[in-house]
Amino acid sequence: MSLAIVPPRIHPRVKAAVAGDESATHELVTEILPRVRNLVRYLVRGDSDVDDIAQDALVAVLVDLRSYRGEGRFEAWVDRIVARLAISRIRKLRFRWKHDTQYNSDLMLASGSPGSEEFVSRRQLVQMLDELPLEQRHVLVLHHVLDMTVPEIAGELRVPVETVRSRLRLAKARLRNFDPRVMEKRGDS
Amino acid sequence: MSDKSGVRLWLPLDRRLGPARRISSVRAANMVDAVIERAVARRFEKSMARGSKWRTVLLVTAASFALPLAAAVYFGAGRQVPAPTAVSTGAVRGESKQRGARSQDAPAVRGQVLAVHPGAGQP
Repeated sequence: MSLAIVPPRIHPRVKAAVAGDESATHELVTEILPRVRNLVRYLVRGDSDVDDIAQDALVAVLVDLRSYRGEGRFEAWVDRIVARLAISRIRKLRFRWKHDTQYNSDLMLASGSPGSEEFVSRRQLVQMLDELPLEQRHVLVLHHVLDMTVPEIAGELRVPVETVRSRLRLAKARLRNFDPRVMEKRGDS
Repeated sequence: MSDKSGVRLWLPLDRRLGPARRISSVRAANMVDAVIERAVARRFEKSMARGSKWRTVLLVTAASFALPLAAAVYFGAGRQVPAPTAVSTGAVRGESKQRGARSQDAPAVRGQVLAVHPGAGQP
């Protein structure tokens, strides 16, 4: 049996963007923008700071683009950078947050449009997330959205592993209290 | 894991179904343009900062060689020049004259001091 070393495969568009191709960079940013906005929205309370943080995160992604070696999915690499930047930004902004009054108008606008049910359920979910303490929320999102392990989260947030576990447990319990369906979708106990 | 808990089902990062507020395509395009513009500016700043670091390193290196050399030249040259010696000799001579003048007065002063001292002059 021979073991061949497979070189990491980088998407041609990413390669072109790294090489400085303007149109490839434009396409790449356009493609990842919705994903970045969604991830930032999961981490940030309210909508008011989402676009500012998403823009900052995208700038950081582009500046660091040359350090992407093709180890792992590009989206996962982007997610890590975005999460790191968003969390550090939120720590600075947290005192400014107040309840957002935009939810209801957004939900009204969305009704009747294609995929509106899904969108409404996502908006209701982030509304619930907004009620969680930020620490619990971040741990929940890093674990369940970005698939980070508990030790990885502990390293990222610079807190003990046990703290991460306890935050995760508390966050799940709170979400279950808000809406039992959140945790019952696939028989979570 | 996330799939078992079902949370992921509720938290997709999918572009259509995500929780972020919907924005128009024009706004999205503006955001993309702004991001690219800022990234280019940031890269330029970074490269400038790197360049200025190198400039500082070069300057410090040059200074670390040049300053000791300049100091050595200055002090080395200072020892070899005879002129300051001549000047100082003159100054010493002038000073010695003054000292001589003072030394004439000195015994009187010393005598006064001795006279004032109660035990002075007695065997």
